[in-house]
Amino acid sequence: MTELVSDILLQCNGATATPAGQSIQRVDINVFISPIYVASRLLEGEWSEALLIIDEPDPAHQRVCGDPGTIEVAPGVCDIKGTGTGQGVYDGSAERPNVFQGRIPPETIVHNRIVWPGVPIDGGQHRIRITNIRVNGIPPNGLGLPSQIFALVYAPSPLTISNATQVVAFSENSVTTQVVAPTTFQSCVGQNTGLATGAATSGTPQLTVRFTEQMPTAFRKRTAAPFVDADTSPDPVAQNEWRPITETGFYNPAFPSLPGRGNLARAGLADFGTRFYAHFSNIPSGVRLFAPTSVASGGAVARMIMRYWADGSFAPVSGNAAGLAEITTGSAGEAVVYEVLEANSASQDQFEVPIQVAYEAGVPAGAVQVVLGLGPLSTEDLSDSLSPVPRFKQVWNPVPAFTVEACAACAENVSGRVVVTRSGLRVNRTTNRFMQTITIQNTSGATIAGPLVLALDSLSANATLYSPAGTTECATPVSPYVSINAGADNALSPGESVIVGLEFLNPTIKGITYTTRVLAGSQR
Amino acid sequence: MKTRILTALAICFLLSTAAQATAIYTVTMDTSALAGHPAGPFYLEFQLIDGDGTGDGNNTVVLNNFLFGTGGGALPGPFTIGSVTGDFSAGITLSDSEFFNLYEQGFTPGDWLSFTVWTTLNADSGPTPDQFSFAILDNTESQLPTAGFFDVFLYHDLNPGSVPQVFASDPNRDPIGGGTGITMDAPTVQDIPEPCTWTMLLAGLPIFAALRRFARIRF
Repeated sequence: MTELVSDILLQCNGATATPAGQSIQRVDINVFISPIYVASRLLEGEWSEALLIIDEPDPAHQRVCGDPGTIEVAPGVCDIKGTGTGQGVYDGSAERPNVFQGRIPPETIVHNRIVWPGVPIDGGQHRIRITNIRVNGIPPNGLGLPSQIFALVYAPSPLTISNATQVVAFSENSVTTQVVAPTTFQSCVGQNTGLATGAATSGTPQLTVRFTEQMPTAFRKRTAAPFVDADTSPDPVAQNEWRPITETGFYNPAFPSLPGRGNLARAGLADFGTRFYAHFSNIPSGVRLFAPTSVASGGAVARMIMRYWADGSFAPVSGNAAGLAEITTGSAGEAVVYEVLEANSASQDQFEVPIQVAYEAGVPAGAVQVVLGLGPLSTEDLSDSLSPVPRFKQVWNPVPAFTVEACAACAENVSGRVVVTRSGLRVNRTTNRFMQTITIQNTSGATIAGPLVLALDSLSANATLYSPAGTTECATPVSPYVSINAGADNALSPGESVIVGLEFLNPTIKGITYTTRVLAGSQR
Repeated sequence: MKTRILTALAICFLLSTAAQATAIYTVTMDTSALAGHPAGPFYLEFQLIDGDGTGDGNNTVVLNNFLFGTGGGALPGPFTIGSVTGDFSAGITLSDSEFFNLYEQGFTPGDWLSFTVWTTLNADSGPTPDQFSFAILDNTESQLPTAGFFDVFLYHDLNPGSVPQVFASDPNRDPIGGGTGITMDAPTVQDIPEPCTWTMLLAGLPIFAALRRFARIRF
């Protein structure tokens, strides 16, 4: 909603330079924006950050009309005397300002015009740069092609402007978002339980939220200040023109604060770099989410800054020893926000944020959704003095993030309905593994339906079951188990027997002891 | 007269409670496919593993009467682990007084192989029985694969009343190729007389003799 358009350059030719000592004729220069609103920041009242600069002065020679030493005949209007030659008219010396502040007239209902009142325009060769014009973005056209944003520069006679209408921007989708591998968990099976209880500082990420540039300059840092590190937003530096890798436009921190016109040292300055967020909702009680405090993409770096909506100054979130921070409760959900500290304008970057879901078994079920996008969100699409820059229109489009499913009942312990007979042990000289067969016979009068597994409880510490099918979690105690092939019907009929082969790693060659548990059911 | 027989049987029962269950059988194999095979030398390998892992020494396996057939014979050796004594010529004794007990010795295959197995059959305290097993290893000391789970030609869980399980070589996995020719005769398991039986026979004679004299006197 506050996208900088290209600077507008006017090359003035011809006409006769104003004689020395004579006031240079002044004209109002208007810029109309179409088909969208002007959203340049208002510094005070109707005075904006949009600037008109004459003859490309370097920062040391930039002087604002209204600065002490200039002859301000009306707010924002300065008298400049001609030199007779057209040279040195706007050199930034006393009484020769070269920076003029634009205003957004209150009578402009649709906020699509900026006017620079009474700009002294001398004859001869001069270059005028109009900068810091921000606009709302607009969707691509019906063909999916970028939409064009136009600027019409108008000035009354005697100034004539050729090619007055220019395309100053193309508006297109800048960032796509995606949840990679939305996952389903079981409520009875804990996830990253060490992280959930605080016993561990890290676990395993189970899903990723992805933010992908659709153009190389969608992710921008705040200003052109060199990158320091992932924990630092460097102090802003002057920018003599807008650079597409920054949210800041033309900016000079030495500009004065003028009564009634605001602090021009804020003109063009963005409040922060591009921020992107993931806002989770409908999270079951007891489920915790963790994300890394910084992410990188090639040369681009983004830092987790706060746990709420992305307003405010840069405040990095502290992580634990593994560089993780918990995504904690914000307004109606849990959100993680990152700010771009370094951007790569030569290629399209993709930030991937791995999310670790952590909980102990027994949480309620729930379908967690997430909204991904650029922030902060705002409904203010016109120029104002309070709203942050940059800001983005709220498009609330929740997508599935992950689901916690209620567990089916744990597998039934059917050990009392079978007889388990073990063979002796044999060392396979090819594999050096201890081998044993287990015969399981249904001695009950009813069929035992599968799937069936054989769990080995209290396995002696010197032995490890080779290639187990899994570990029981729902049907405690936690033990390794092997699958039982109960035939095509996946069931043990009364009297039916099956044989299961076991292999153990036993490097210290000591006795192997365990107790058996036969489970029927899929939730182990 | 009935009174005298009952007395003799009672004596026998007391003696048998101190005796052990045992089995004896003969293993015979056609090893002609191994003779001269480049995968040799081959090894006969025997394992006795204590089921409950305590090394309780409650079972013993004795192997003797090794015959290697025409062209066959023992190679220098053996290699042993655990509670094992003897060799092919003197006979081999394995005891489960340690957890893992192994005898391995190279042999030159002849046209057949035969040996006798005498084993006790005492249950272990836990659910895993002691197991005796027999395999043939190739020159990499890998087991020649067989149809059984353990890739052995014979294994015997040493429970009272149990019999050994025997397996033929697996033609689908046998790298020897010619190993498909290996066969094993079904072992003949003999219940050797319980020591109490001999004791009964031996002890009963003088008891009967005494009773008969006693009767005669009374009469």
